[in-house]
Amino acid sequence: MRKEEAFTQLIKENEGIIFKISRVYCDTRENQKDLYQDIVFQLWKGFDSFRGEAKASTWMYRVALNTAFTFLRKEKRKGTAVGIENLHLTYEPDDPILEERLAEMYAQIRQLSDVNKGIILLLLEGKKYEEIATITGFSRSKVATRISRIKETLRTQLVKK
Amino acid sequence: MELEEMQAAWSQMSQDLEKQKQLTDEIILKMTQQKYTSQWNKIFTAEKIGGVVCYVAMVVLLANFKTFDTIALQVSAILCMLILAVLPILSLKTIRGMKQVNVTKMNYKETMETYAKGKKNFVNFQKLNVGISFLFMLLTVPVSAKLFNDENLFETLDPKLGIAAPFMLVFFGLLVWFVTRCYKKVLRSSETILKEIEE
Repeated sequence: MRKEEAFTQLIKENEGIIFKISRVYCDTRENQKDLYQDIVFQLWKGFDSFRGEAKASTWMYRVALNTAFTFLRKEKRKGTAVGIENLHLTYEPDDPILEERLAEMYAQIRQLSDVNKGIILLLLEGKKYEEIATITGFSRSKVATRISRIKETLRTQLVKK
Repeated sequence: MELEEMQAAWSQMSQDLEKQKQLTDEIILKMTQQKYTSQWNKIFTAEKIGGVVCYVAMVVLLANFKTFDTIALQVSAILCMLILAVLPILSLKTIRGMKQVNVTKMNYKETMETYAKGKKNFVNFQKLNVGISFLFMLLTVPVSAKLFNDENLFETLDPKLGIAAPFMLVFFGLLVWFVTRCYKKVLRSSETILKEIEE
């Protein structure tokens, strides 16, 4: 299979992951779109070094989280997106209650620190502690401690509300 | 919202997103061709050119070292040469540190650590740079007067010029204060990241 074909297939299979990460890290549609493109671009850049090396999803989460972290800190982004008009990146659930809950959830996650933001995202994605540790580079015990702290923070946010 | 409720909402969204595929091959390939102009690459190139200029100046001073016939001039010339030799190396090293973040190979922790440490080093270097540049500016005056005009400013210096010294010191103090203030936020943010990792 050609490199381009293998890559497009990988992205298509995992486009939801990139979408969700973009939404967690950026609050405006414009920035989400820019981050989305940056993640795809970085995945493409590292695609050769990835092949056959690790589990595809582990590698994707790692690159996407790293890109999101550095994306927010780029002092000046020049000529970023290549006007992809067809990239709408929308998700509007039919259920208004779900929509409201998602908005509330994103607002809560965005209040967390960068480390915890990445960890909760992986936890919500259904990752086991070991895999979260592999992706983030923190030990399994640290991941567990952080998750219990995150739960505590979420409860505090709830009380404050 | 508690974690369990979040998990339920997230899972619902993930299921919906699975059904709602938006990307086409064309869009994906277009995204791989975007041209990001890296600010660091630009700065790195500018610093490299600056480094060459510094070394050329150092060679000029070294080749004409005999011209500096008094101890004061010789010390000034040696200090100038030292600054010209060391500053570009420090500068390139600091920028290289910033460029070491490799999002495709590092894990999240390494990325954050490398980024924050690189940024901290960069800010510290910038502060040092201001001080050294100011010293260099002062040293260049007698050195270039001798080199290009054959004039020894240490001998012909008007004592009235001593009045200018406190003003220069105040100016230098203000400059350091301004630079420190400018980078305070960046430094604090780097410290926060490192603290977050250690927690």
